[in-house]
Amino acid sequence: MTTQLWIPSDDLVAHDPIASQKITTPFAPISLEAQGIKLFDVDDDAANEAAACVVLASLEDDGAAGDEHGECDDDERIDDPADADGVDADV
Amino acid sequence: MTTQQLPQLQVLKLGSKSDAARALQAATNRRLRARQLGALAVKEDGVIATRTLNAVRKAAWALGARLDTCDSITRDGEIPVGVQRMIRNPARRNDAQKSAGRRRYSRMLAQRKHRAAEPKTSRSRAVDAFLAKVGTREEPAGSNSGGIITTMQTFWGFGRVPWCGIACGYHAVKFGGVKGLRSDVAAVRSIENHARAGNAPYGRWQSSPDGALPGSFVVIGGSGVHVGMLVAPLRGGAAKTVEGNTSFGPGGSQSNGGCVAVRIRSASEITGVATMNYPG
Repeated sequence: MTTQLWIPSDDLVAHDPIASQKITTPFAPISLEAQGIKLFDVDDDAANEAAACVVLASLEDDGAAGDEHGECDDDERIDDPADADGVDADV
Repeated sequence: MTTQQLPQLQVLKLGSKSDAARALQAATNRRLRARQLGALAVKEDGVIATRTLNAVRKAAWALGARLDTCDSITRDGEIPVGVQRMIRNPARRNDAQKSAGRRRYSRMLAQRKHRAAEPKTSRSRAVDAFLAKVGTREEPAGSNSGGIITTMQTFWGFGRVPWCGIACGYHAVKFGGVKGLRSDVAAVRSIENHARAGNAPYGRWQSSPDGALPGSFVVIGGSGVHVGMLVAPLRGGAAKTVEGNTSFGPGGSQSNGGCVAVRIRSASEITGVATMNYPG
């Protein structure tokens, strides 16, 4: 595997003369929303916190459990009884 | 709850619309709500959009799917049949998958409990919003653009430039409410220079993350190279960070890798920290 450590980001920005000008003559964020242009993002603190917890929990060793009980009410749930196939082991 | 015969399973692809997709969205929402992740529930409109892929990925993770399977959902924009079956019929998982699901849910609950015990701050809102984007990649690869990356570039008035500083600045301003940041946040050297000079809102410059608060900007790999947002300082001058435009691991470019990822940076990798002034 090729490992490319530390390509200097600022050098790459400097290759773009327009971007360089925006850095040497900085300005405040563009208020697009005031102009009726909505930029896509999840602007929901509860959703972001939930997603962050999943991300942080997923960083830990998959062989480890936390201090909480991991059983869930729907662990044995079948929504689609017509599908009798098991879940493949490689999923 | 009544059950109904659901449409036959087939691979669901980003941008498609179908009854099978609607059924999967409904099942995904049930699995998420049962695991205290109802805030991630999606609209049950039968359309496989990015938010649906993200929700399915998290549900699959919580149910014990392999990590590479989870990654492939958002990377390839496809939901395999096996993942759909796992979400629709959790009881049909094998013992290893059920066990993995229980361990992951346990860890996730521990994270929720830890968070609930701490006050919600402008710093934590910025960090959470950044963490929520982990797994995002440039599309196409190497383009410095695509989806939320384009949103962040546009927010600062840029087109397609390296975006590690852009991502930190975007989350600090939009979710953390930091006032006074300007477009030169795109340049890592500017961040360091402002913090060394004590210019608002960069706070102060310190050589180690020790004692720094989440949401601080961590300069990595030398002056002008790379920057991420502090999630938590660690022992020995190391730090857990969330970074834009890095790679998921030590292979690949650390400062132009095209991904949003959580990284553990050692003291030797960390050049310094701009503590940043958040409101509140």
